[in-house]
Amino acid sequence: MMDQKLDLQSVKGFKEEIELLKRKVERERVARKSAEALLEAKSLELYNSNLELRKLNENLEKNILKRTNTLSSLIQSLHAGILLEDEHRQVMLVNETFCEIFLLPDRPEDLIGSDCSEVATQSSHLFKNPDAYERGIDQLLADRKKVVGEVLQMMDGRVLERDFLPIYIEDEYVGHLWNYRDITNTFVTDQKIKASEEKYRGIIENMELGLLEVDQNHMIVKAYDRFCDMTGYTREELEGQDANDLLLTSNYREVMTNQDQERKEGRQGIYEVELRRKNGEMIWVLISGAPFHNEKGELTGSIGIHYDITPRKNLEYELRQAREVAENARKAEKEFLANMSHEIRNPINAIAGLINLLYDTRLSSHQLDYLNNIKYSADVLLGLISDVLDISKIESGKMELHEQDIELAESVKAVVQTFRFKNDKPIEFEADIDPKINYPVIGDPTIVNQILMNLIGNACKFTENGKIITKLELNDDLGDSIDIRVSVKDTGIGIDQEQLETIFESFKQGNKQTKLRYGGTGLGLSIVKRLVDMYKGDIHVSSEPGKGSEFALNMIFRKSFRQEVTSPKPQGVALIPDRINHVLVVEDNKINQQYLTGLLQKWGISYDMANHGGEAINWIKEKRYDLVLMDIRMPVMDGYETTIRIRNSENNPNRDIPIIALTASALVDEKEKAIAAGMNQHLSKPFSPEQLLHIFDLVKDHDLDMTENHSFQFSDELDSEFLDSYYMGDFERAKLMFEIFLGNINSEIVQLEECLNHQDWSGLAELAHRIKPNFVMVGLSKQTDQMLEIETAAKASDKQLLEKNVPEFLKEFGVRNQLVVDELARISNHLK
Amino acid sequence: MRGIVFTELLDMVEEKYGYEMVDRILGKIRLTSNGAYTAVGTYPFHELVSLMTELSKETELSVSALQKIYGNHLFGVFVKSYPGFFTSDQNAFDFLASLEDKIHPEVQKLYPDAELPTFDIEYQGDLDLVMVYKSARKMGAFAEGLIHGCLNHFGEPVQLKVEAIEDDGSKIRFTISKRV
Repeated sequence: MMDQKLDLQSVKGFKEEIELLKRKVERERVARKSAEALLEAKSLELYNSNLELRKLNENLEKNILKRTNTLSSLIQSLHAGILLEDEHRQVMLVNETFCEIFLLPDRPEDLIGSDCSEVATQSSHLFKNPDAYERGIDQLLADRKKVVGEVLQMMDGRVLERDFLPIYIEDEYVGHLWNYRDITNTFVTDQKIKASEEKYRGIIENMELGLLEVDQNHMIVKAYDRFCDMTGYTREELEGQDANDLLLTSNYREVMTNQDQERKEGRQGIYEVELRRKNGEMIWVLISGAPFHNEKGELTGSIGIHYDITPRKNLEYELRQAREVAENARKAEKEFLANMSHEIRNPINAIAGLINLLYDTRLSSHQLDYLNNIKYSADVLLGLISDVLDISKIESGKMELHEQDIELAESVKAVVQTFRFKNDKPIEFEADIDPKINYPVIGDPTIVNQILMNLIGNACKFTENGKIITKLELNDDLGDSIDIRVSVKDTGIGIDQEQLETIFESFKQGNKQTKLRYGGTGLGLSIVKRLVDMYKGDIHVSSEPGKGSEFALNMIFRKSFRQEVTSPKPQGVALIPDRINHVLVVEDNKINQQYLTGLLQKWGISYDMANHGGEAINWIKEKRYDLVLMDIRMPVMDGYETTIRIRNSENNPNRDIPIIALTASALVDEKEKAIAAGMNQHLSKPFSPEQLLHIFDLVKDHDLDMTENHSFQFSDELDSEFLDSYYMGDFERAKLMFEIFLGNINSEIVQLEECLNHQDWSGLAELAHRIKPNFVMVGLSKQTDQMLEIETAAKASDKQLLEKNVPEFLKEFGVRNQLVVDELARISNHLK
Repeated sequence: MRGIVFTELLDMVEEKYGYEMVDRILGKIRLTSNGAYTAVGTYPFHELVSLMTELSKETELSVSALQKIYGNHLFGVFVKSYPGFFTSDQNAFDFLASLEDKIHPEVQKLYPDAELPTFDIEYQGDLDLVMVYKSARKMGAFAEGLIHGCLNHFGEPVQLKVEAIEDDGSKIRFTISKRV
């Protein structure tokens, strides 16, 4: 009944409340709908956004895949073996090269994802040092640090280079990459180069060559072992030191400075210096130095290869000593020969002379027979001695040429004729002369005669019977000169083929039998060969044992401008010069005195005898003589001094007297000295009576000349005052002196230059002393003065002065020498 | 303007004055939405102004007083609805200072069309925070209410000084001090 109690007001209130609630519900329904619509729209929006995102994601994945593939194929195609592992050592990527290097049968893609933790152990057998290989990998994985360029050698000879690259993403370790490269070829090449370098270093060190590198200030940059051994220093002691200060003595500073300069100019050089070892000992080294360049090609110093030549230097020194000894011995030998000529020739001379005198006495037929035998033996002895002296003369270069006009045809005929007379065997001598050779030539008659005598004499000696034909033929007429052939053919015993080869050598005779049977020195043919050589000729021999031999020589002679035949000089007792009546004999040897006085008595010439120079001077002051016969080697006063005194003594009547030197020596030296001392002629002992007469003849001519040739004037360009006073009108003597001077001066100048070049000061002093007087004798007074200066400077070893003086002298003399040549031509012309 | 501002306003009115008040206000003003607000929607600002104006007439409270009350209330709603923004180790200064840098950018991401005021921090010390509100909506009082709500939430005894930089309420400086 409550419902009935509801009043209108209440109903109305309810209604309003219902309306209010309806409005609220409606409002909320609308709001809900609008919210739903909004949410649906938002959902759709979200869905679409999601769709977009998914697409974007897919694209990204595609791109990543593409890039991964590109990277992967790049790695696959790499020449290096690549293995990429994640932090758990699972394979992320591996390429084919890797599989090949490690001899894996799998395909690279099949390995992805597989575990690598056992790989090191599994593959270690491939390596030469498996333990080290495994330990290395463990260490790398533990350290997780980048390590590149490790070299691993494999059992099969391959060589690998390995890089380990750990990978970090934002400081987090995510894995690592292995990179293996096969460097076998490069490695082997490197090894070869190293081995080659080692080899050459070894070779150089083994060759006992010490290497040293220095910079441009000779600071030692590097010293090699062998060099250290050589010098006794350690490498540490050498390096950084000044090589010159440490090793060189002051004597070699200059050499080294010059060499440094050469290196700076890029040149190499070889030189010898003495080095001071650490212990003070000196060693000789041969250094081959070469400039040293860096990689850029800049000069940084030099490298020297040192070779210890101390033993060689010692040997050289010993050889030099030995040579000196040998030279001294040769000198002694020469002196011995000269002495022998004096000691042996004198008595033979006396014997021969006395024999000649004996012939002029009354002899029984027995005595004559004995005398003949004595004479024969004396002649043989003389011949032997002459041969020995001749060969020594020729060998010492002191054989002189005395050229004059000779008739070759006459000479040949005369020699052949001589043998015809002398010969006592059934041999026929023939001279076959080419009639075209009918004019005189210029030659030394003594040499020509000696050649002919020796050849024909030799043929005689070995021929018992038959013929000896001497032929003179004209090979060629060369205009100014002629080329002739002389041959001597015999029918003797002949010569064996093997003996032919040595026949012209000294002391070689056929064989022992020959020597025993025929005797002689074995020098005859050797002398001929040397004489022919002096004339630039040649000699040949052909022979058939048992049938005979032929010796043939070719020589060239200048033609004489006097185209008429000269008459042979008359000789003999009948021709003793009238003007020679009173002679002074200066001779200490009693036998020689006897020989000479015997001859003079025979020729009716009066004489006085002086036993030495002292006595001679007394005689000279007292008496006037026509001639002096002067021995050289005498007690009290020798021949040279005596002559000088005679020439210089003011009040003596014999100041200009002809003086004839009687020398026992065959050497040119003594003859030169005799002429220089002022003697006019020279006669070598032993001499025959004919030779003495011939000399008398020459002196007579000279005397005549003296009177006739007074008009000649020496050139003013020379020291004519000295020349006048020195020769005093004796132009023959002047001519001789000029000739001797010119004959010797060239070789003396050469010696002078050599002494200077070799800085042989003692040799230079000796030479200057010796040749000093020669210049003034040909009128070159200034050159004598210069030579005195040179001698003084050389004695003082004044190098600087000599290097100025000698060239100065040479230059000036070059000009002055021609004056002497011209003057000689003038004198010769005048004397004609 | 975000729908939550409208829905929470009407909820608060319903709670304080009963649904009749809500119905009355909505009945008096013409609204294109007809007051059918939903928190996920967006509605014209002028509807809020109309609602506030009408409510002011009905309750005889000033609009700014209403704004303050509502701001204070709304902060409580935020705390409940969006706990993710609030952590235990926060204090009021940190939260307010992070508005501009952290909270507003997140809101902007969720609602790209939202028009948010700016809160520039002029000074932040241990004891003082000075911030300047700027908005074309001129809702300074509403902001003040929200700040009060915030300070209440964190429960720190502070003084709040409000200083209008622009008289129209578009720019206001809030000085919050822990000095008593």
